[in-house]
Amino acid sequence: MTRRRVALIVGALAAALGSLGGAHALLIRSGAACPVRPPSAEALEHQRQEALAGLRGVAASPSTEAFGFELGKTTRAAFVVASAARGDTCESELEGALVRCEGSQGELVARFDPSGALVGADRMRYVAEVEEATVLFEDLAKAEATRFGAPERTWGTTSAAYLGEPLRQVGVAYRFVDVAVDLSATHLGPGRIAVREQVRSIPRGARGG
Amino acid sequence: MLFKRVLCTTFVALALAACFIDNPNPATVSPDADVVDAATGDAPASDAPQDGPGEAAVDAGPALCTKYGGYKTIETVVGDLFGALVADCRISRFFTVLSAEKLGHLHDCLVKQVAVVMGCPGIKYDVDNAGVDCRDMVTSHKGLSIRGADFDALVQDLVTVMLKDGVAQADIDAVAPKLLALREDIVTNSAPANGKSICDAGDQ
Repeated sequence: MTRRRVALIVGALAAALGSLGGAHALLIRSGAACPVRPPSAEALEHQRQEALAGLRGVAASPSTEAFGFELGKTTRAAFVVASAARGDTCESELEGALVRCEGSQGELVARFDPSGALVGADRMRYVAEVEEATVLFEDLAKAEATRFGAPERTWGTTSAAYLGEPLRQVGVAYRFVDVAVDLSATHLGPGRIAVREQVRSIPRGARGG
Repeated sequence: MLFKRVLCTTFVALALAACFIDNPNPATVSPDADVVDAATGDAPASDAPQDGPGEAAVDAGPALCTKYGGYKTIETVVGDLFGALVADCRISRFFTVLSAEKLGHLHDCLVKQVAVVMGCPGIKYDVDNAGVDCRDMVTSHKGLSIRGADFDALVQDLVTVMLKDGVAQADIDAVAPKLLALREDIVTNSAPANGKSICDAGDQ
């Protein structure tokens, strides 16, 4: 093979690579994920911020505590250590952006930003009895009212009669400029009522909606 | 040396090209069955009306679509649902790894699925806006290793969005049996914890 032919092949490949690379950059910039590997921590955080933009409230949250951890402060390492000390079994997902723990308090999913700081936590507990679920929801709602004051929105009816039917949901939502807090109980079928608590930080840059 | 360099460049180019080989999988629904039950993904029986909305829509009543403002409202509800799913850290991994093309496909098919369930006249669960076939529930979730908890999370988000967007509880009650019955088709992983990452899925 002549030197000229090799140079031509390399040139053609470089051109193909350049155009693919350019298109790839455009694709990623448009917010799409490359299917070859999971999205980067930065891309995930960007998606999270976009998704949470519409939840932004006006006043500052009186608390950034989430299940014993602090939004924006607790590190992934500290979270894993504390969860292990509680006897929870944890798995890391999306290259560490998510840590999912199972324990006596249900399933706790924690979300971390690219710097490794906690930006959201979501706790799910399944309750078999409607009455038990109603009491748990009421207790949690009272605790949240003490911490956050009047909710931005409530829905459903907090009673065993209401929650006793499939796909019935009762909930409370708090919206602050920096934090979104949600609590709900959903009847998911016979003997399965899910009580869910969410605490999510809303980044400063997120647009209001 | 040159050969090595060419080989390396080719490998990198192929790796980048792989990012574009991302078309949704081809249809598995029979071309003859252009109407499928949006809830189950099943083709209707041969004696069923081929231009009808399917069993689910009959259950829910054809008036639901017009009651809530037609197809446009369903697009809004599904758009809100997508926002909730991406913001839901329990299951966002299923959506954040998708390309824009696949997300669009999923959105379009979901809009049509809900539209059929709500009885929107003339709407069939057939193709997305780009003409790519919408797959049945079993095929489209195959290989995703979806747990019961993942399905539950989606149902919770859906109910929250429906209530927020003004869907009456009575109408949610009406579609509840069909919606909850999808669990059998969608949940394939009995593990209590996440047994398999979405990134390992063979058929997204």
